[in-house]
Amino acid sequence: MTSMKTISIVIAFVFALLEIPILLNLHIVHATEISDSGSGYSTSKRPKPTSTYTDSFQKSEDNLNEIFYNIFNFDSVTPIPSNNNPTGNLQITQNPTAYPSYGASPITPITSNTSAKQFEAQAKYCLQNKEVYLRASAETGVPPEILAGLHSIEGSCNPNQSLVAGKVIGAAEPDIKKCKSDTGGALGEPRATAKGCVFDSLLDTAVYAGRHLIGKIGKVPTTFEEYVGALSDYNGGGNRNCGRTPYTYCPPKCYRCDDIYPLAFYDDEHVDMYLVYCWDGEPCPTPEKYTRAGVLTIAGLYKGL
Amino acid sequence: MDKKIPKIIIVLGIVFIAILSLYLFLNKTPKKEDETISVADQANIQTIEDVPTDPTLSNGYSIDTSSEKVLKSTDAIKKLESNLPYIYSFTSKGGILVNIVIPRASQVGNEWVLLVNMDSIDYQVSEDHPDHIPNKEAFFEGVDNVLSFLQQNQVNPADVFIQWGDREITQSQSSKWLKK
Repeated sequence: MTSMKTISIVIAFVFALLEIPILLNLHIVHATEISDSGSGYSTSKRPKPTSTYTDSFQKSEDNLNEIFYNIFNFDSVTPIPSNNNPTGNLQITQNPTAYPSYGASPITPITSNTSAKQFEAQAKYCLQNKEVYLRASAETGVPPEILAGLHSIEGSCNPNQSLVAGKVIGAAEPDIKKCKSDTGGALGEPRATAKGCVFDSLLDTAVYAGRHLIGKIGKVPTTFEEYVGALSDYNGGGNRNCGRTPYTYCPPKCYRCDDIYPLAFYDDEHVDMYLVYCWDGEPCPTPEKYTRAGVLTIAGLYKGL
Repeated sequence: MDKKIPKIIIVLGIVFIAILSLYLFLNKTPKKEDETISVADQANIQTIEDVPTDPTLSNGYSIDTSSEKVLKSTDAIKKLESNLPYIYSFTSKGGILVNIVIPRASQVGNEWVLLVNMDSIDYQVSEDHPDHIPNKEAFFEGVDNVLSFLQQNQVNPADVFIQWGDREITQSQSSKWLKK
């Protein structure tokens, strides 16, 4: 009787000792994944697995992760919703919604005196290109205020600068490696020249930009959150802030809601934000305080004019 | 006798958690790069860099639209059009949530190259950073998925030029990963 008791206690003690380093190590591995892998969660929290599965091993692994998450993650976390199909295997969606719809009208005019208001002059400057944005909007379905916001961040709304990467119209676009030499004047198509692929007009760049924004989620975004996600992806997503900068509103309230590109200065929660990548592929030595307005900030101001 | 039962339950509980921890720990230990990347048709993937250009025009920027390869790619993309946009999300083995979006050719104004967006992957992370391999692996898991999608639609992946992303940094990193 006594020996049984002793054996039980010894086994319990040994396993408890074994468990401590394992648990510590697990937490470190997860924290690293989370902080830099794009989930947007803060380092102390593990996101719930949200996947459609292509193989049973991954599914069982994620199920175990979820059990573990439920046991050890005591903080309350709002999970990032996704468009997952729990039935698994390859999913082909004809009328997809890439990100969840929250049902709100996508762009609300910003008219009140908020942190965004300081950029009103910038939005007014974009009005000079109003006709171009309207024509590109008619062509692509992307609202003119979104195109104005994109133009503001990429080319400061200067009529001679592209919406795609801010290059002077007629200069080679670095993101377009090959194109046709003769487009026959097709709207929104770049044209090959000896220096690279170029656009002939601001309108061409606006149409091209609108189309590529649509390409990010496979349709014209219809909700505010879809615009946040698509715009962040348009910029490459590298400037999301949670887990990478001192930005405090983490975890983000929606997919990529911690990214400066769509949301800097949109409201009080998006004022103290940071630039992560100073140039493509070049992280800033330390995150730099971001001082410009995001696309949706300018879009809201533009709409309110 | 009754006093023993709670102790046994506690011991069994600890044993269960310890085994679970060990299992998860072993599966999360970073693996060697070569062991985890397996793309059967990787060698056949044609990227934007492989698109034939007309050497007499525009310093190699001008697509040779009369080339057989370009025509074949255009036909293959037409075949896919009714199943586009293709949208698929999954969590990679390294824990990265990957969103794959293949828009319609008409949505991006390009009929000869298939644009594949996988923007949730960090293409800018440097090679010496611990997140480089998980992102690279997530990319290859996405590539596998895209190739399966093509094959399910009776399109030979070798016939299509695929543009991995619409930013220069995305395209160059993808090509680098694929060609290695």
